[in-house]
Amino acid sequence: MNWIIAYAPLAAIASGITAGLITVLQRGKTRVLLLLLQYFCVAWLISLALEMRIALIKLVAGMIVCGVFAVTETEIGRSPRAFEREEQTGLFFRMIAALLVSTGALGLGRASVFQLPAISGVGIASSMILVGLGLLQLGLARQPIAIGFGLLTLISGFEIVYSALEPSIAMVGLLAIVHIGIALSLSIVALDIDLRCKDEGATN
Amino acid sequence: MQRRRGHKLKAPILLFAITGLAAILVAILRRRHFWAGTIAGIIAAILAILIIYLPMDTPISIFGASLRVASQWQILGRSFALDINNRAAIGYLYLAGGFLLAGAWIARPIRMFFALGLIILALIAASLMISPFLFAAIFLELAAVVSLVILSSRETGRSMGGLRLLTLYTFAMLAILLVGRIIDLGMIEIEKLGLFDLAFLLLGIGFAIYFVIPPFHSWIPISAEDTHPFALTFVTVILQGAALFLLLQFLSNYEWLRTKAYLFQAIRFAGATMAWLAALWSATQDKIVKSGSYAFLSDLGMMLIAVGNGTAEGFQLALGISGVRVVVLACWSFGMSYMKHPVTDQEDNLQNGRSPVPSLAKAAIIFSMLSLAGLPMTAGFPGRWGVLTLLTPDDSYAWAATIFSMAGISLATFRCARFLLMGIRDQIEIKISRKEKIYLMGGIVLGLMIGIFPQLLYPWVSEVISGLIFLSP
Repeated sequence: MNWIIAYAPLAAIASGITAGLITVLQRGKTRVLLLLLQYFCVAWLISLALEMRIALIKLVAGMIVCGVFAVTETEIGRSPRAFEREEQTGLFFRMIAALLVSTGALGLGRASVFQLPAISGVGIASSMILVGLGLLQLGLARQPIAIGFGLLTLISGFEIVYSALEPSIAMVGLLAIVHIGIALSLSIVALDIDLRCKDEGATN
Repeated sequence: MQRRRGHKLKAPILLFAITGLAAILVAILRRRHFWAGTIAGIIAAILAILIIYLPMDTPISIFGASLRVASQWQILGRSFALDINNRAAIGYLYLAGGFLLAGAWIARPIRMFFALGLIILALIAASLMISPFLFAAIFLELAAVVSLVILSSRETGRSMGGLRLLTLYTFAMLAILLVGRIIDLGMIEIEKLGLFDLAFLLLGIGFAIYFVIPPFHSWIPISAEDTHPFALTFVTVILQGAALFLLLQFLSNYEWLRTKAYLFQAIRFAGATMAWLAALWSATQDKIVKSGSYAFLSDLGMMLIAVGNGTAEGFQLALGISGVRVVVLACWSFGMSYMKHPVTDQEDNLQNGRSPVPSLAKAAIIFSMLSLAGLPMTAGFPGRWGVLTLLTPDDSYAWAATIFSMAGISLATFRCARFLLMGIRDQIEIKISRKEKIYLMGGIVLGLMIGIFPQLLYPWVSEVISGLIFLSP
């Protein structure tokens, strides 16, 4: 499957762009679509170290995660007194922060300590960007779903490198369960809060 | 060749299946708190007894039928094993969890608390059974995921404690998984590449998160304010218990780790710092619930001082302190649940003077705080005394931290007692049922008994590490 290796840099770039856009856009279902694309790119990059059929587990888990978030975002959007999403930071600030973190992560990825023989340079670069932007998303997030995006981006970045170090189906499967579990629990919390807002709105 | 007759069952599958079925049953009964809690507690206790005493890998006869329970279950190249290394530990956690679940109905936690609590117990058991055991970090992460649902509040902005717990446990999972990869390289490669320090650093970060060593403690006081006290008690007791057993497994399995002298010095130092710092925070809080949460942190610090002793006696004492904490925190959260009762609906602000909380609940709160302080005749005293006797004359820092911790939490208890007891005399108290009185009184009496007769609990809890041969005396 030479095309997988040949076009891997595209997947790395796309994963970085999607993570950056998720950081910048703090609301809406567009983020869910971007997250799905990010999972696709991460599965592609994982397939550099693992068999394609094992990497597809990651993609399937990602699709389930995005489905859960899509349903949650739809439900939250329906409430008459919608879930309050206070923008703590401006759009311009988030753009600059995302660019700075991405640049720093790329530079850090080129350090000799991260040049591992089992992992391609493309994988390391993508991993560092996703980990960096995941941490940034966690720092900027206040709402459960936004925190979920940050955690999943962080874990995805980690998996790109870790799958090369621990190429086992059990590990990929367990981490897929972690992804789905995080999405489900955060959706439950978000919907619970939204239900409370609806009840208060009905009372008032 | 003789054929082996009889049915063969796998213990890990049985454990997961029974726990799962019990969780479904109590989920169906979720509107009936008493029955859900009682069934959850009884099933957890039965499972604990079976885990500890059921013969495995040998044929047993039940009503004429021959049965063989295998201790191992292989799946996807990994295995879950219920063996001598972990049976007592898992049994202990199930017993502790069952004790908390059985009494939780008084506190009226969220409806799905009992079902989710059983699921957490199964995940913690999985973390202790999985081989290679570094995969335990993933199961602890899943336990944190479920804990988030238990800790979450319906109010906007009041779930930060649970969200912070999940975030921190994710960092810990990544750190521990990386340590696993480093260890797999083998000692020679690790030395050649100079990765010892990195492994220690990652291990330190992971366990600092698991043991809520500051600054990774913040989710506890935040959750104390936002969450039902009993839910927080259950999550903290079970998660920290699992962390302690995971640490003991690391020490037992890796000689290069337990032979590093500075490791135990570091644990002792971290524990001592946590003990006095948390006691200081506890004494200076304005809210009882936060004061109690910091007192718990100080107690954790004492447990770490015991672990940091590096001897079998120290590990046994740490387990004893952990076991006593289950009773003490249950008592505390029973009492605290009346502070958040719909009738009172008050801020437990220590500046206020009103407190229509029932007298028995006040007694439970004060007694449990005194136990966390480690005063004589309370459940916490044997642990504190044990730590003081274990410390050598060189450990002046740990010794001073222990004394300061006792003094600080005693001061916190005095402030809480002043608020609780000096209420307006003609204030009408909340009426509580006879069953609730029995549970509240039972918690206090049990704590007193452990304080006066520590031999009721400590020797049994010490047996838990008997399977970890490198840590046993």
